[in-house]
Amino acid sequence: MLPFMTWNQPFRSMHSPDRRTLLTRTAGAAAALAIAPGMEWLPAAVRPREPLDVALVGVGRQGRAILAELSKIENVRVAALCDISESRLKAGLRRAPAAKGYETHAEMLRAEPGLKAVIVATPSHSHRAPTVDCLAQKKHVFIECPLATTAEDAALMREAARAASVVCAVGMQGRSNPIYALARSFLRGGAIRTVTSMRAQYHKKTTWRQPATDPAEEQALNWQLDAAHSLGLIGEFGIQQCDVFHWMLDQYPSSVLASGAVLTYDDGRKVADTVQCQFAFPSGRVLHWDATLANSFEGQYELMLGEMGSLKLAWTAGWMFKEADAPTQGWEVYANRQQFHDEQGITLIADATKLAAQEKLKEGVGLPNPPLYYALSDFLRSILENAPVVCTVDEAARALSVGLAAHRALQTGASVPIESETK
Amino acid sequence: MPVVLATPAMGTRFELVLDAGFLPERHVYAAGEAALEEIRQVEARWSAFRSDSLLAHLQREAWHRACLIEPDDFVLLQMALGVWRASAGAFDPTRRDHDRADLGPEAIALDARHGSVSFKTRELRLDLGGIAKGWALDRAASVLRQEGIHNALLHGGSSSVLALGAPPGQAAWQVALDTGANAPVIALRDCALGVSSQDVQLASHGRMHVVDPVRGTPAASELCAVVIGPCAAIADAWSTALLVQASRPEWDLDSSTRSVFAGREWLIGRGRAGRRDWSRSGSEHHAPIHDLEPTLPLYALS
Repeated sequence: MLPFMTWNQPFRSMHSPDRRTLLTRTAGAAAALAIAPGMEWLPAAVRPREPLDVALVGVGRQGRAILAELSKIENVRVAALCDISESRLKAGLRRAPAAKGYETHAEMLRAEPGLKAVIVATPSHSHRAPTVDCLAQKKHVFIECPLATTAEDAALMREAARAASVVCAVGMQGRSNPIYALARSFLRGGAIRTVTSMRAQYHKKTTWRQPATDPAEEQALNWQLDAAHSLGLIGEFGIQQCDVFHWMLDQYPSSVLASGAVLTYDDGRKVADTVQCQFAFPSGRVLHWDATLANSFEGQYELMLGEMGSLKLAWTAGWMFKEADAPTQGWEVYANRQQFHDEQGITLIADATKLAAQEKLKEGVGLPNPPLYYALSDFLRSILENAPVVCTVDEAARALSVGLAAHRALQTGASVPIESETK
Repeated sequence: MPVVLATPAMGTRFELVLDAGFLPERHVYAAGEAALEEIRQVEARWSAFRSDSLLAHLQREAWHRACLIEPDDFVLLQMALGVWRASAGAFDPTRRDHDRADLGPEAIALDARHGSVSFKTRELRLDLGGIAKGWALDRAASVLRQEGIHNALLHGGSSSVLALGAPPGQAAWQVALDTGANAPVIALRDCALGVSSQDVQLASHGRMHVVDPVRGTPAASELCAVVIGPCAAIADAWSTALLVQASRPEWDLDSSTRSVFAGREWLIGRGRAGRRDWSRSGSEHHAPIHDLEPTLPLYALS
């Protein structure tokens, strides 16, 4: 038995298995299926739940990715889509033909009283209005990361969430990612001992510009490049990645120093295409975060170095690298390994015990679904099964305060303190 | 100057050559990046090597429930099954076990009303490797057209090529099929080209990646099959079918075996890369073979 190798179960809403599934499970194939514990032998009298009616506000690129993941989840019906852009709405409705389309969320809320949950995937600076209005109507709400781009918006959203007493979750995907959960259990179990150094990066070669021939549409589409609305790379990627460390360590940084510039894309933009930040934690640790749109080398990852080993997490895969003097565990004989130049990484594999017994360990390498799937599944589980919210608005607001401080540090060039408590 | 963008995907390099025309350069770059993103999305959805792909999801789920898929994904599966039927099984979107006749595309059920797919057996292994590259180019081209780019050449690993319009001042994009002096140069305009042959590196180690789905025998390693089609997915899939069919002994003996390709434009090269002898379909609509210098040296089999 490999006691630490656990796997978050994919979301399945409760329903009775059909005869074929039941027979297959009886035949012993259940081991290969991801069945929520205790659901295998539901009595036949248990009827499937009514599908949960969900709406999506904002059908841009991220909205479309959300639709793709929702289509994998049973007993969820996308009942409504909302976007101010007619072409985006049309493209979304093609993907979710059973949904009704609306231009504004207010119009949608009036016309769809039966909606149970709303997913907010509008541009980051416009999360507040749909969130607050949906919460006021007692809809469960999932908000894409970052929560907002200003402390004022975040405060209003927290207040609305407190008053609503419904599920309100924020898509900090690291917290829902099964590989990250496994890494966290390693870290907490002392596998790499004391963490001494931390690094993270977001490298992607892209102009970050969306195409549009109409100047007004181009400006609206490219809100990420608009310094008036955007926290830039820090807001869109840094907050998500830093939160991995907050969650892993149960600590937030106390100050941040940042630098950055437009080094590659001389197209009039004011939002830096290359940024470095140093987040200082009260324990004396420092997290170095580096982001660039000029180069894609090694992509996106988070790395924690400890006395006895290192953990590298890259969203769809993760590895542990052991120091030579780290004690060897019995399970390591089964472990799948990957070579990175001179280093050998033990692949973090979910369900490893089961797979090792079936001699299928290699088949478990990598995440079975994109990270977004797990964040959405956790949100739905909170609604349907009263599971705790994985990232609350309060936690997301605190992560935002780290991002806002980093943004201020980038603008001023000075070290900026980070509030220890959110209001 | 054309704008050139590229991305690694599906184990190869995809490249876009875009004629900016009178469009602002930053728009052309942004449109090209959106097209590359579409290619990466197709990889993310249909890769057999990614545990989080849609393909992997269908392998896990579609044998015990109907899985909803997006309309574009549905079209791709319809197209793959269409070529499988029309080619009498020479192109096969599954990895077939020859001892199990029920594990082929017969076991894929598409439900157009609900937009879902299910597999009749758990053991079915969907494999869109013979069509996905072309499909990715078709999706990328659709993005480019939408953004006002009507002259571009797109290719995936040079074995799948899609031409939009023509380069400035020319009637068509000229694509060389091989490195030799006698290599045909194909003129492409608003059409696509698929090339299929055994992987030279794998074949040198005795491993053949293209296998006749009906007979279980490897396709001939000295052949190179080229099909010109209206879209890259179709050309891609039919080039695999052509390689399989042309590898069968009866191909040269009995012209009726070629009837499945009636009306299609194709070429077959025999021999080693750089020294191939080429034959072509007798269709009167066949794309002309010119003695022209290629616009781009896309040596499909280098």
